[in-house]
Amino acid sequence: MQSFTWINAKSIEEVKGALAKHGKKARIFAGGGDLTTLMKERIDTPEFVVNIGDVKDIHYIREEKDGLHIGAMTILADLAEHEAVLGRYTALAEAAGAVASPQLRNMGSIGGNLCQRPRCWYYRGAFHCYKKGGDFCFAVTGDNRYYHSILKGELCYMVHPSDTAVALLALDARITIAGPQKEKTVKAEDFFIGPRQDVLRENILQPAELITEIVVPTPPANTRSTFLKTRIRGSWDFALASVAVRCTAKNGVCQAARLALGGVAPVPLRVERAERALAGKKITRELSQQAAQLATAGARPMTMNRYKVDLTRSLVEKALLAVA
Amino acid sequence: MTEAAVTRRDFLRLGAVGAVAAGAAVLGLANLGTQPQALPLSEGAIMPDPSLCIGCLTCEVVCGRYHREQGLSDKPRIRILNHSATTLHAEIQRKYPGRGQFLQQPCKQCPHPECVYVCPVNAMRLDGANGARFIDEARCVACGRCEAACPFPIDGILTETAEPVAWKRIFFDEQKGVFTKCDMCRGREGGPICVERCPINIRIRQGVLKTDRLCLDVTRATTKVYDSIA
Repeated sequence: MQSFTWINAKSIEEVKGALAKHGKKARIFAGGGDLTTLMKERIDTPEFVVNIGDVKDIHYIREEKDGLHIGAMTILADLAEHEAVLGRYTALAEAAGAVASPQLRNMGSIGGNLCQRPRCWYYRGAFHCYKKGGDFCFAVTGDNRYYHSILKGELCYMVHPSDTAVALLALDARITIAGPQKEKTVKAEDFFIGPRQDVLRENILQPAELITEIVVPTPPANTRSTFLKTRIRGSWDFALASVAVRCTAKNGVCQAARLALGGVAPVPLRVERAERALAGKKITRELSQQAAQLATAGARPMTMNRYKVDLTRSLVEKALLAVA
Repeated sequence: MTEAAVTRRDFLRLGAVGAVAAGAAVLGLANLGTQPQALPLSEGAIMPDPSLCIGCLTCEVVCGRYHREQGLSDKPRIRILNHSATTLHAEIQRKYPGRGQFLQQPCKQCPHPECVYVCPVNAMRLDGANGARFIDEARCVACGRCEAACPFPIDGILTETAEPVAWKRIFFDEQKGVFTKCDMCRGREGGPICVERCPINIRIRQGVLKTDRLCLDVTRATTKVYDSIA
């Protein structure tokens, strides 16, 4: 690991100051689960590491009138076990509980989980790919069986690894970003960007910005949500495919649904065409199958990951029937 | 980077002189009662082979990125369509089952470019080095005549969005308020970036994929080539 200067920030202002001063040479250290591995493999070699673990005012889960407010440093284990999250924001609790292992969930933060880098083994290995400023995606013609796209792939065929991001899309969450400019809030689906916008990053954060809060709006009455994930190792692993769905139903008829996929595209992917197919209808097995087909329409599987199309459809069907 | 300043005035003057020789091959100025001289052919045109295309969209993305880095519109100048009628190369079919069939639709760098003839502000120009027909975005007034004059549609399901499109091979950039088209990456060492970065091309050049053609190639824009590009 390359040596670096450790900066222990005590407040958001200190974090912002350090980021503004050191710019691209600095990285934020939240739980450290992802950044540490990137640094050990010399994929990322920051000169300054800004620890935000001691910033007190970003560790919280509060249920307010407008919804659930989550500080960016809130650890995943707390989210997974929080009573209100389990009750009204079930998909988020399930997603947080499906991340990695208990040890990592006790260290990993929601903000860090949203900002983690891809798990593509070419990116993580000694390959100078597009993500590292190179000029080739080794996955396109190489081994692309696990963490590579079947939907929306272009240029770089990684998939976004975050589980909680998928749940936040389905729950219509908003993300608050602090930086040198005025604080801003964006929809979760606008936070993530694909290779076409910028292949070197996966979200809109600029070098001097950080996530401070996530707000999940209070779901309407009669709303249920769930998150399902398939992985190679059942105990802990990244998603081969995942799905989060939120459905508001009245007398068994779906009034409105939000559906998002993970592990299949360079961004957590909201599939509105499938959502539209559900609105105003009773969710049956047939309808869930139709929605699953729509969710994966336009899939372009690679040489070794065609199975993910069926896997994703199966997860969508299961998730819809679970919230019906 | 050089450019041949084929101004509209020069063009009309030369056209009047060469009217007999040029005949009726160029249609764009027929309504002006004169025939223009034939313009120099482009040194190159992008020659696609849809049978080798896997719809990875690398060409689209690197095109947009390269031009953005040059301070130009980042609209991709080459677009990929879903195209079920494409017959895939056996090796592609074997390695990418179920991925789909595609059609690359770049500008043909027409021997008789209607888009050049109709531009009222001389923004449509010929590169002096390679003859590529390109739009000088600083001059473009977004009148849309070039787009309207382009005889080649991009009509089908766009692979990027899986939505139907009905475009020409000249694109309007809403953000910059200019039209843009393939310029063969004029001035770029190594030629068009889409040809260089196509992963199938790379594997063909490495000998990993055995075929006597490239997925995207550069060839001289002769009339024969022009006719053979979809």
